[in-house]
Amino acid sequence: MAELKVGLWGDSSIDGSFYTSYNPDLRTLDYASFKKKIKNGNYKVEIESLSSRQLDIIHRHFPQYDNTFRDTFEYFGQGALYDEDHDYQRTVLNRTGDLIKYRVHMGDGPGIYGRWHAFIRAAMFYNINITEWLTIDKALAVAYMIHFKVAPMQSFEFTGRDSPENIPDEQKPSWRENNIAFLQECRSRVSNASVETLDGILGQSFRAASPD
Amino acid sequence: MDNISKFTNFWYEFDDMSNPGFVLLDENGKLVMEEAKKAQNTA
Repeated sequence: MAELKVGLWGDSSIDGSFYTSYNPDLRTLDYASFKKKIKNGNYKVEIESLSSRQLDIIHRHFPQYDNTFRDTFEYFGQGALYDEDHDYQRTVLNRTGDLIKYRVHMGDGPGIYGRWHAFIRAAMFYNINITEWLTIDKALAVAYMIHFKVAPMQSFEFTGRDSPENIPDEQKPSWRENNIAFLQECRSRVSNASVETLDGILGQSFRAASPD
Repeated sequence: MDNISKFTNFWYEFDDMSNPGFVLLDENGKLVMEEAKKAQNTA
């Protein structure tokens, strides 16, 4: 979330506000504490702006919250989206000066899922598109459950070299056909989930911990 | 098997907006220098 204050360095960020209000043992969010920190941070304008930009992209690609929308999050969680077409904008300059291509669209590093959930929680606090964000948050929770099971590799981590033929079996679209029961279980788990239940799934991502 | 390009296009656009860690390359795959400086300053 480039334009928001992010980072787990205390309360002065949205995800930090979540992280420092989240109890990983009980897997619960102290909502009063989170609310207070968000309020003190004055994030409303930033959150409204980013919410509107994110929803605009989602609406343009997915006119309905249907199975296609659901699948895009599931593929993201699985690390099945290998993309060779956008290297010019999906490359990281590492500390030793090497250019590293991130060709797999996936949640890189711990906390990505939790960060987005924290943003969604803050949007909900400000009554911004609550129903839509809850739908997106559920899709995100399924993505994290799949991510945790598959533990996808980024393209530069593939055995051999970065190439579509070296995608691990678990990250191939065919994996879904062999794991239909698991996918159904994940979908059922979130279908009627409250946002508090989603706290306990997505909050785990900050420590790369099990959502189960 | 689904055609995954519709999914990659969505995430590409989404990541482009929200991921501050990426730098820009030119048409030869070389780093655009302003981006390198920016990356160094934020490292």
